[in-house]
Amino acid sequence: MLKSYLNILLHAHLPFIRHPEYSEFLEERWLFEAISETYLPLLRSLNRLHEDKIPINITLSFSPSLMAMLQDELLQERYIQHLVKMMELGEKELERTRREGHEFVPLVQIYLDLFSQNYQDFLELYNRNILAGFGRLAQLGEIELITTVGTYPFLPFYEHYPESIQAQFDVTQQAFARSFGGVAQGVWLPEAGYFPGLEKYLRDCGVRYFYTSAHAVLFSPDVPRSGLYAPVTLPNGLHAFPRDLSTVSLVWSSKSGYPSDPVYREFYRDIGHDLDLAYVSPYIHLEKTRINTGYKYYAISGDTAHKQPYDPALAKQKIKEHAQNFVFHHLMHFKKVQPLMSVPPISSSPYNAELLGHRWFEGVDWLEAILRELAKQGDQLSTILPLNYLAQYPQHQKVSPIFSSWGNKGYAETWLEGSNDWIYRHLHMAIDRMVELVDRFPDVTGLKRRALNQAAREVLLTQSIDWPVIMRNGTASSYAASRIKEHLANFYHIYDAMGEGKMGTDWLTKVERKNNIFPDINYMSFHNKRRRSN
Amino acid sequence: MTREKLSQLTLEDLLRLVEMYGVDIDEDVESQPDRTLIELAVFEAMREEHDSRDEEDAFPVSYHQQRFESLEQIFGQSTDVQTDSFEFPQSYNVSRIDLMLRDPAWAFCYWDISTHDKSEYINNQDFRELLLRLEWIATTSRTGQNIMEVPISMDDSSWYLNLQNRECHYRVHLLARLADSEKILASSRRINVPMGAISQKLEVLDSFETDALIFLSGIESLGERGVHTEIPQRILSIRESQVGFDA
Repeated sequence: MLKSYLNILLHAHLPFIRHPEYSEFLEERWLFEAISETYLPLLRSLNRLHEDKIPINITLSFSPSLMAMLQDELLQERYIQHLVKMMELGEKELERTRREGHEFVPLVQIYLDLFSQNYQDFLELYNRNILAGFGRLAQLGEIELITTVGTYPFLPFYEHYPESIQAQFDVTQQAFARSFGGVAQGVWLPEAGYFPGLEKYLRDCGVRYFYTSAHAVLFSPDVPRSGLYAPVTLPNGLHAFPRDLSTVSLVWSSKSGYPSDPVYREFYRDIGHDLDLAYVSPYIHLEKTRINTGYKYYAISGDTAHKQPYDPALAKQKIKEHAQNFVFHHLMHFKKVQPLMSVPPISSSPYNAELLGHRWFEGVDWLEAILRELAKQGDQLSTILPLNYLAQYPQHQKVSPIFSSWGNKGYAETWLEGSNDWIYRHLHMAIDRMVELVDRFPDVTGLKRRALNQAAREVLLTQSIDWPVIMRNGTASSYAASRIKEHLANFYHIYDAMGEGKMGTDWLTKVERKNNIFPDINYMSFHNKRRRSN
Repeated sequence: MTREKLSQLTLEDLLRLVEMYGVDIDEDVESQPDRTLIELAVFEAMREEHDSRDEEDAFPVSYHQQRFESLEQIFGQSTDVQTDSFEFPQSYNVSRIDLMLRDPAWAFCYWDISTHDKSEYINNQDFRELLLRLEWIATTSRTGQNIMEVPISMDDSSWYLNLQNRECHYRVHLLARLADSEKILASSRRINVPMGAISQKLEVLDSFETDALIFLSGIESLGERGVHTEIPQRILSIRESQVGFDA
């Protein structure tokens, strides 16, 4: 009987949000919450597995914008300040809940311990650079590190703008080399967005494989003989791992998926909203706007407003059950798949990393429980790193994937609809104007070069797919629109100044310090190396 | 958001939600009993939208959105980003048109017309109408080239175009029709529209293993969510076959 494999990918991404012009900025908390609840707990979990000699073999993708934020000194310092405040709140909560004889005392202690451990790990173990922790695990061969593309653009929307795609891939490999050294050999395409022809860029920047949606392969003109259970080889030699759909709802469904189990922690109940405003004001936004603090005492409890207190012991038991169920589900599924295959089947499952820990508090422990459960299975089923699979089984069917994504209905409707379609005329025009600048000012030096490099950064920052997603959501749409405006404003300031020969050093320095992503960028990436096709 | 949360909101914030979710209210909102009714109506509207979005959305997309969806984004005093009073231009004074594929059934196009072209053609006494000409060429070259025209008004600047054919290239032209001629103001680059369904080559493959693996890959759920996808009967029949697969 052939062995079967799981190819688990966690892709970590947040949009580039950094506002040195304000002492405190609400959206920077997205990063702090992800570090506290996902990235650091994940590192602790992976290190535990390594120490216990449990095979890990999972792949992690860090987006270039996230890598930039994790390495940024200002955000690192702000994260420490955030942790100090959260520990202070924990001490205060311990005192309050003890005084009131509250049942939540042990829970408060758990959160306080979590923040304290994060503080210690962040400062002492990783010296503020948690990417180093993941780099070490990769060097040990426990995980494979890959990346995604630049500012996380939905690439099919830029098919007609090859200069921009090229620039996005150039900064991608620069960011990866700066964070981990070497070249990323695997890529998670933003939202699995693919169009035929993209593989040329991928191959040219040293990538050997990428992930696609199920649609990309199942609806290819070439029938995929192994369905979604083997990688395919594109005509240019690149490999693509299609996403397996068989376990999608187990993890992702908000109604029936594991994270929605009633015993797990409720994300939406937080003392930042529940307690007296005067009491929590030092720990919320600008001391007046209620936000999540991370101290959450209730369980999901089902579809009711009367939430039950969160019981970590019950949750721990459920994690084990869900991990066993996940493994069992795959074993049963592979039992049907495996006899039909000529090579060992591989199920590729990409997940947003921040789903684990941040949204699904118990998610990191669930992943650890799966890996421990798999270790008991012997040779039947195990995780594998994509490059190891390709090394062992290099020959695969030639298939040309189609335009697709892992979004709604498999294509692009999420990022192209009434709420956000208006942005693309502006984003595309900025690319054309950037290409024009490159043609007018090739290979310049000094202040002009700095200005053009900044112009390139600003153009790329407009393209983050997070902005149209937020617009569709409607909740923070003004922030998303103002971010696009900000980057276009900066870009056109440079465009005009270059034309007039009046580039102001002070202004440029200020903008460079603020939007300091991609320090190694070279604006000549926008040089028109690939002719636009008709 | 829970009912309890709603009850803790200020009246002003509650009314913002009424507006945001399009809830009809005609009671006097100042009195407490009426406020409870409003909370209930808002709660129902939010739940309906959430359920509906959840059904429509692919799970990862739904999660991506939820990440940005929390009370602080609704009621948080979002700090404005400094934009040097930049406004998105109404026009870039360039005649251009771009065509973007949304899915195998729909494409989005946007366009702009330069001042020169407006004065030369649109403001000309011979000007009759402005239109989009959608042109498609089958990649299999069986059906040749076809066109479809859509009249547009001067106030339009974008349009969603229904794509009637698959496995073909599309491009769109922006045209000014004059009394006895027409002028192409701009042409888009081509987009390639995939079939959006399982390949017809499956019919000649005649492999039980492939049929079964495609079935086990969850093609059925893909079909339901896909765009006019038809799943071959031979794959669907695997469910009832002796093998008894259950994806």
